[in-house]
Amino acid sequence: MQFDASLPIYQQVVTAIKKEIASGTIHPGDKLPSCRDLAVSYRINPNTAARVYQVLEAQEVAETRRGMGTYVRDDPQLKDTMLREMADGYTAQYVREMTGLGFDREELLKILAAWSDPEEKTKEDAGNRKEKTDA
Amino acid sequence: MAALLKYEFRKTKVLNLVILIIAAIGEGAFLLGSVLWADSVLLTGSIVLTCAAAAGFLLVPFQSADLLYRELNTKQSYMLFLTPRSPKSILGAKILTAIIWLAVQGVVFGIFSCVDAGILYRASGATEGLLSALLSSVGGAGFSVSDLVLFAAKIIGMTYGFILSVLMAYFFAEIVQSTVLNGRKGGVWFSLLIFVILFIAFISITGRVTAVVPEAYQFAVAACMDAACVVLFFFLASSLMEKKLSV
Amino acid sequence: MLETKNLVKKFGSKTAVDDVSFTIEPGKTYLLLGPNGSGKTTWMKIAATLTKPTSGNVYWDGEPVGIESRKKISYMPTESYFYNWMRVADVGTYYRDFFEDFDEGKFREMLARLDLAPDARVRDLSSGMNAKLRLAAALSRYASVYLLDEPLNGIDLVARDQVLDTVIAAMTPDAAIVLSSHLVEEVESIASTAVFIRDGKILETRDTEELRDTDGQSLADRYRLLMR
Repeated sequence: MQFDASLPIYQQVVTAIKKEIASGTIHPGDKLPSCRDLAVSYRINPNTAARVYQVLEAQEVAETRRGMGTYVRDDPQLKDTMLREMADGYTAQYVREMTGLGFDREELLKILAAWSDPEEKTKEDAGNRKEKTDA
Repeated sequence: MAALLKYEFRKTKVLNLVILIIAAIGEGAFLLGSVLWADSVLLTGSIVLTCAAAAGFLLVPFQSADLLYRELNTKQSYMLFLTPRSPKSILGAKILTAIIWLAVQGVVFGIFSCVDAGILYRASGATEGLLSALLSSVGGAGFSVSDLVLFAAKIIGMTYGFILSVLMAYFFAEIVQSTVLNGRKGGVWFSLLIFVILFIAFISITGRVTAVVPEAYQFAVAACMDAACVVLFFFLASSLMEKKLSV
Repeated sequence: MLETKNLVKKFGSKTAVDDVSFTIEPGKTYLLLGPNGSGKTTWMKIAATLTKPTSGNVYWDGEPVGIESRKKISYMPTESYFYNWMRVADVGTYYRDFFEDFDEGKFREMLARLDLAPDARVRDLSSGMNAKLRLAAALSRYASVYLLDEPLNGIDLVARDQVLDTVIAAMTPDAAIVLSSHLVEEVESIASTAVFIRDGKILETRDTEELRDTDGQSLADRYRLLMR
């Protein structure tokens, strides 16, 4: 994983794990890797890995079971909670950036309603052009 | 210590085995010549043996000194100095390896010379009388074969003692060089210089001491001085290695 | 604990280490950061007992570093130092013969992961392969302190990941790892403590996450700031 090294790494790993829960890659009740395995897979210090789990536990996302390891909390609502948290985070960032540029709420809503991904549009155009040349 | 010796032998075995193999070839030629009564083969064999013996004697200390020099002045020194072994063990292993190789050579050449002498004696058809006349001319009346062997042993012992004290003094000189120069140029000359100074000092002291000692005790005194020299430089060298040497 | 107290090392008129004092604690990974000639390698060599100090000293378990500390400290030098006549496997045998904490199985495993043939001759190894061998030898010991001098030097991109993984695997609560590296960005994430050194002096010692949390700086940012 590519880190932003000017921000605490443990936070970034916490977010990455929450994302995996939100997207359904990890399910509630799943066993999380051991501290050492987490350290190796994310290429971080084992102390940082331990801190990640501490934070996840404090935020009631994970729980450590004595002698067995760390597990995602077996809560069926957890995925939705995580989705909301991720959504809030991204939205907050978007709103902050856009209002920082001077857009107001109404303009944001209009932009979002009319939004289509330019990358998708380019692919669509390319597809249409191909159809035309084939015809 | 065992591990140190293992690797000292690994590092020095090629040259020493070559000498022993050449000696074996020489002895083989000698034996072949004596069986076939082929004088030239026999003579070649004995020349090869003599050269191998002389070379071997000199090459053991040379190789040992050269090896230490290379180890002190290149990064290969890390191999020895990262290990949890004291300088005394490290130097001890080196001098012990030299002693063992010299001893092996001594035994091998000793056996060869006894065998060859026996063959020559029988082949020449010499009588006991001729033998005792020959012995008397070397060591005076009543000089027997066992006296000759003892005498040879003394000479060899003194030479060994001398070689070892020279080697240990040279180890010390190399360590002084490495400590003082720490990689700068002129290492070889510097250690040679220190060695020459020590050598001259040693020879003059020994010479003066043995001059005042009666002949019968001269061998014993020389042996003691060699031993003292080896011990002195061993402690000086290992102490310097431990306290001051940076590689 | 590896304690450095008022350590000074001079080479002629040049002062490589200028009255340095600090402690290396177990369970932490230290990253020594500084320009060439700042004293990082000299300090490591003194801790490894290869170089003798001018004054002051490094202490292991209260005693000046010496034969006992060599049993507990594993040093990986930047230079190639194995005997030329050795093969890769011989290096393992040598370490096994001299170090009680050497794990030959681990060594062979590391050789396989780093793509080093056991029967290759040391003198035929490229500088990168030699570096991998030095690393494998140093990390196959169960030491209390690992001193790794530029462990990523000369190592290709893919192998660097393997090296870092191996270093992380060596991190335990009883061991301390001290790394020096120019490739700040690549090793940032694995260090717990950054030690910034210049001209033989320690400019600053920081907990890496605290630096990010409080100052919003990466090690690279901090380095540029301190070394300008």
